[in-house]
Amino acid sequence: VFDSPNDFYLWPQRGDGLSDDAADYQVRHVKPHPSLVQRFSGMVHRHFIKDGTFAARFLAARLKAGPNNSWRDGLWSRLLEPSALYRKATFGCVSCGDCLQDHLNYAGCPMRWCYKELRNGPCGGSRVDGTCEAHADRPCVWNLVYLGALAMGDDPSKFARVLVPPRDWSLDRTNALANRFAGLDNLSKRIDLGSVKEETKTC
Amino acid sequence: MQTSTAGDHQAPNFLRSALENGEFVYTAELVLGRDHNPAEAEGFVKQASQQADGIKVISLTDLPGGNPALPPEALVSYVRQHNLTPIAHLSGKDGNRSFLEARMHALAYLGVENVLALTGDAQKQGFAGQSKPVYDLDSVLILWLLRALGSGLEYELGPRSARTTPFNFFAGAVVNPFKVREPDLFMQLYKLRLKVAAGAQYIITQLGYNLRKLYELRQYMVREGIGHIPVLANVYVPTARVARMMQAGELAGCVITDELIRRLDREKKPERLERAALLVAAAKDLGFAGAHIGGFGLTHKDFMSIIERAAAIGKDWRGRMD
Repeated sequence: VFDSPNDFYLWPQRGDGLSDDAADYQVRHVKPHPSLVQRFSGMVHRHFIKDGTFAARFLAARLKAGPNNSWRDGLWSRLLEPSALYRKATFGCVSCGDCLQDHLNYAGCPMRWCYKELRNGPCGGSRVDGTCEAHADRPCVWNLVYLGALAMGDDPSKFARVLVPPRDWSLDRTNALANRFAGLDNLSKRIDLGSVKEETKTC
Repeated sequence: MQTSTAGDHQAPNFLRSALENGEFVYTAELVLGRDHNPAEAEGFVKQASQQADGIKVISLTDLPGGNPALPPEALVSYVRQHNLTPIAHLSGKDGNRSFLEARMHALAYLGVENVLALTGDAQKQGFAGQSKPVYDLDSVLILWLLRALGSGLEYELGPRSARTTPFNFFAGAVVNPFKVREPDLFMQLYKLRLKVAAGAQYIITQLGYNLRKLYELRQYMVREGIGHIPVLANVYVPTARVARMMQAGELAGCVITDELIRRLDREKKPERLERAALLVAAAKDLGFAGAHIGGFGLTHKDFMSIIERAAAIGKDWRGRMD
């Protein structure tokens, strides 16, 4: 066993040097603090964007995607354009148009901060200090997502169940919020694999 | 299962049968180079095919380290013609979803069932500069696509709908259980569960030299209800130079301690092979399904030496670990 300094183990050590899996996981007991952006974005999502809210129902009824992109020139779509400025200022939004920030508890955007733009969890390449394989000067965004989920009181084990479909490139450089209300983004295409048994679904 | 139309040779799938029968399996990882003359790899395959009890499964990398290289498709037929079983690595770093699906159909055409789904390393230097990173599908989504191809994918062909010919891949995935920090480790383990849910039928670990962490992976999988998925322990034989490159991050995701490098500086090849044999013996005794062996410059004789020494060590590994 070649230990690294401060190696994190799932369980305490037992007599033979391996881990005692009869114990609970040695997870952190101090809850991280959510950032102001996380709290504000989460609050806006809960009250104005989440399915079933009055604002979501109101805007979904008015944003009907058509066979071409002319619906994007309508009043309601244009009224949502300032939301792109907020996303750019807070998350460094790259306008993928297929946003998954609600799934990530607004902790950081992998389309901007992950070299591989991964949407289903980290690659295996992060460095010993938790920084990115490709950019040693920045943390792996998926570490921030893990801590961000805990900070927001969410259970990060959802990342073991929920499959996010690949980015829909037809939405590239369009308004993510308009796409959400129009039902074009990944929200309805995410699959909780915890509930999938034998059948095969395609993304 | 649809069989290969290019199947000039119908070799049995040793990997699938060994894992299904609970037999400990040895796989050798061959890193294909940039050159289109893989004489060294061919030589290894020839030697392995002449050995009655040895390596039956050859794992072929897919442009590892972010560098240009011969893809696994180049050698899979050669491996099968020698009555060995290939595992083709398939990473999402160089091709988009259309190209990945095309490669899957090509592998099916060549009769290759075993595919190891990988996200892929960061890009390094290619022709006239650094390559464009693609990563249209990550490892989870590659597994999902492989699974979908099992029953055939529906698509529109003009006015009518069509379905791809079903092919039953034996899909594998990778996990890195050696992460040092809590967020890295838990996110790795969550992603492992997602990979299994998406269709991974066996797991090969990242290389590492911390047996406690390696075994924690098995313990975690049992605890989380996926203990039935076979796990092959990655047993890589590094030189001190390669270990330093890993520690510096030039080879991504490897955890190499200063103490290991100090030991490697002092050791000759027999000692390094003995450490690998100890790790194989430990993995076998701790319930792993196999050993995935690799190392820069290792000969077939070195691989056999590891396997034979591991058999001789048996359950005596505990008192002999570093």
